Amino acid sequence: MGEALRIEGLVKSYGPITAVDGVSLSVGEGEVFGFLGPNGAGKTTTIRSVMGLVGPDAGRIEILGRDVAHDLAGALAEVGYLPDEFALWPSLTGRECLDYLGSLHPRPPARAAELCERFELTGSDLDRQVRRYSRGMKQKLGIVQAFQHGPRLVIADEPTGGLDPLMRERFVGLVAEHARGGGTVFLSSHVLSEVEEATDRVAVIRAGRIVRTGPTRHLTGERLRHCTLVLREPLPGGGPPDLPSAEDVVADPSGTTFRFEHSGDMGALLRAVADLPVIELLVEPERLSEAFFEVYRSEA
Amino acid sequence: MNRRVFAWSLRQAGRTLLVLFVAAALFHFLVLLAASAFLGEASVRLFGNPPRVFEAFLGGTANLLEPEGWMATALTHPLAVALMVGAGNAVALGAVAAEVERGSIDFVLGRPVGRRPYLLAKGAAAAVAVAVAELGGLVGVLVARLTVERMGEIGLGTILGSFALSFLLYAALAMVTLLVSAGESLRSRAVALAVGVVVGWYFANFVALLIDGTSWLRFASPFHYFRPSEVIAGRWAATDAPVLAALGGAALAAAVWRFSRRDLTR
Repeated sequence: MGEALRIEGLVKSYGPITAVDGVSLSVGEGEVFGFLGPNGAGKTTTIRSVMGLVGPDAGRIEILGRDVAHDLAGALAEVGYLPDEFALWPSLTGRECLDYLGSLHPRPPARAAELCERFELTGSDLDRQVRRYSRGMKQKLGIVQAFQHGPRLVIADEPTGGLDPLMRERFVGLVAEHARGGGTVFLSSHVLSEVEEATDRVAVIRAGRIVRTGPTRHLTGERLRHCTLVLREPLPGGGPPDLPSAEDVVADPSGTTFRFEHSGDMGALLRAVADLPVIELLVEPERLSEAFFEVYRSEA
Repeated sequence: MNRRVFAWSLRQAGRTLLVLFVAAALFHFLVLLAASAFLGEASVRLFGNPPRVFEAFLGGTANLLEPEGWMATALTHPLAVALMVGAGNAVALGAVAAEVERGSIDFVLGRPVGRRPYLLAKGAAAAVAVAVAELGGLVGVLVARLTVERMGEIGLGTILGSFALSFLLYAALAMVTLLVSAGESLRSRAVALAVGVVVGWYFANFVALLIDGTSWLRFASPFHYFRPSEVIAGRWAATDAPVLAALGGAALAAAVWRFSRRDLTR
């Protein structure tokens, strides 16, 4: 698998403020990559550097093997881009916006009609001037223009802002479909559940630096699981059972329900509870949001 | 130059340009129609020796007793200046500053367009916008030539030459606006700067024509290089057109240089 996006040592300052400070990451072709961080962490500056909209102070960016500094046009020919917080041309209709943007790309916007249908942009919607569009409709149009020409790499900065849950679900489906077809998606989002659902790997950026990169399931799976053990009757002595690798064990007053955190190998835990009068063992994997905040706290 | 950006820029400004075309045609015709009323002895007494401040205000001449003066007045009237500047600004101001403020430039430059071809397309579209307004003015003058008393005395070549020089002036000013827009991220700030520059130059030319000791100041104003009364009288300086063309070219080159190096951030 080749690299769809490679960033090495990216540095970008605005006056005395260093927005991005040595960011390096690599996204493979066919991957859905999540880019996480709070406001002001450097996500958008990193993306705008990739797109050639801001000039890095240092570092190297390659899109599908093309150095952005030397062949930006060649690199962008393979990219679909959805920026954060945008407005379109108010005097144009939605259809005209798509036609205009479609005409600027070397590939024909072959998927425009299908994507409009998927995101419920009707003919009458598309014939209205975009100044009359709601935030969600503009966002849908933004998604369509990013995917309409079948780019190999889609870079989306907060792509689901303003979308209702149904449309968010459709966007996640579109991302998965794009990846199944061999395409790559670089997804920056505040919506952690969406990133968790859609991405294969994530990078967490904090104060302009990457503080964690890895498979999404590792970021969550390596961390704690929330477990609840329910017994039929209290154990002799009334105390909690021996639960290997369990932390923060809390028993309810009846002595039959124990809540605890667990990390690492589950095998020892399962063997330990096998001989107990177990009614139920609930194991909830930690959510990405919890892992995200954990990473942030540990790096602070 | 990116031809699609060029075409869509004109398409977006289409209605504005249509209005400016009609307004310029009507304005030029009405000035000539109204000025033709200044005939007869009473007008000679009133306008035979107009005050210098009035002449300076109209760019150096205020001969309302002859068709040549009427036309010169139409071409240098502040409202004509506003119409022609407005035509160029309709495209040039929106080229970068408004696009960055809105965020729509991200969509265009996130495609394989390139900054230089993008800005050259915007510059060409701004020049065409000026040409559309000039064409409107020309139509107004040609209609007046057919319908207003004594206007037929002005030769067609003279009229075309006047509008050609007018085009060079306002196209140059549009390129200056493009330069301002290329470095700004807020439309309102770009408007203020661009209008300020044009008004400053107009005022400099006015002061230079009004006060003898400041006559050198006129060379610093592009308005000095567009004197329709001189063109109509066949006395226009051979350096006027090259100076205006050079100003426009230099402003466009500076705009491309500035735009190519800036960060597109709001």
